[in-house]
Amino acid sequence: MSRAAGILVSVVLAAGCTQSPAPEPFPQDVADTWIERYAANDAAGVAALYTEDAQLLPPDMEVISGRAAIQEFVANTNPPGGPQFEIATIETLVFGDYAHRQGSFTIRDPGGPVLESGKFIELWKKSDGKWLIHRDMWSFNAPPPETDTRSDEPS
Amino acid sequence: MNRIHLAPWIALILLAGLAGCESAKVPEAFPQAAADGWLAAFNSGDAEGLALMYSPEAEILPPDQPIVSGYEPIREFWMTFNPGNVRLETSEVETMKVGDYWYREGTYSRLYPNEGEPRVGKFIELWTRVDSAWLIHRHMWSPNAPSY
Repeated sequence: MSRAAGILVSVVLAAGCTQSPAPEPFPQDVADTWIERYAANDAAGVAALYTEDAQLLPPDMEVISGRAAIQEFVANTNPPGGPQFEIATIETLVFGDYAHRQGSFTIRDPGGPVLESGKFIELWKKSDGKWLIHRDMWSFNAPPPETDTRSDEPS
Repeated sequence: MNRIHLAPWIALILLAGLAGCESAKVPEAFPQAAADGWLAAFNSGDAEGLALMYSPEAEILPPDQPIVSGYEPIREFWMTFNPGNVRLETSEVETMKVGDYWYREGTYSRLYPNEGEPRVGKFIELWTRVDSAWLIHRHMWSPNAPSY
């Protein structure tokens, strides 16, 4: 009896606390889709990658809430022929139905030099089995240049 | 008779299970005392105290500046910022538990001397627990209007 109970205690110690399942990988495919749609000036397609109650937190502007407002913002700030926008992921953390991504971005003239650079943090949320961006905050690494490029700032 | 002998073992098993879970538990409520401590340190101009409220791998992402990483650079950042010169308030705060972290967002209002209107902006924070202390791991904010 005591031996069996001892084994049981060991099992409870090892597994009695419900272990969180191993986190799934960051949804890089969705992040890549964001880049593709942004480059194609597909504002509706970009907005569709945000949750219905998502928020953009842009620098020097108030918070932009909701998918429709996000679509309008992207359409207004990413016109065809605008500067090129590149993203690098620095860190991802996935925890259950949420994920965190931190990264950097650069804005450059098409085929030309870097105009500005910055950093971003995103909070992702899994809704109905789909990973979407829930919060998206970014800012630049320096005050605006003499020639203001921020009318084309990315999301 | 067998039942009498089983009782202590069952109790031991239950206690062992609870003890095993304890270290992994994340409290259900946001660690508000830690956030209040940060705000108090800011408004009292305690840059040293502010720096101690960030995790060893913390990064702050200020507007129009590169990322500031680690204790000493963060301490220098707040020393230069001179928080005692500014009165800070936060509002519209929301918190979300995300795994072992807490995510917090809200708006801030900074009142500078000789300025009638406060400068308003928004912030996000990712909090992590280091040993028994809740500390800020990522901290980003930006104003709602250009300040240049």
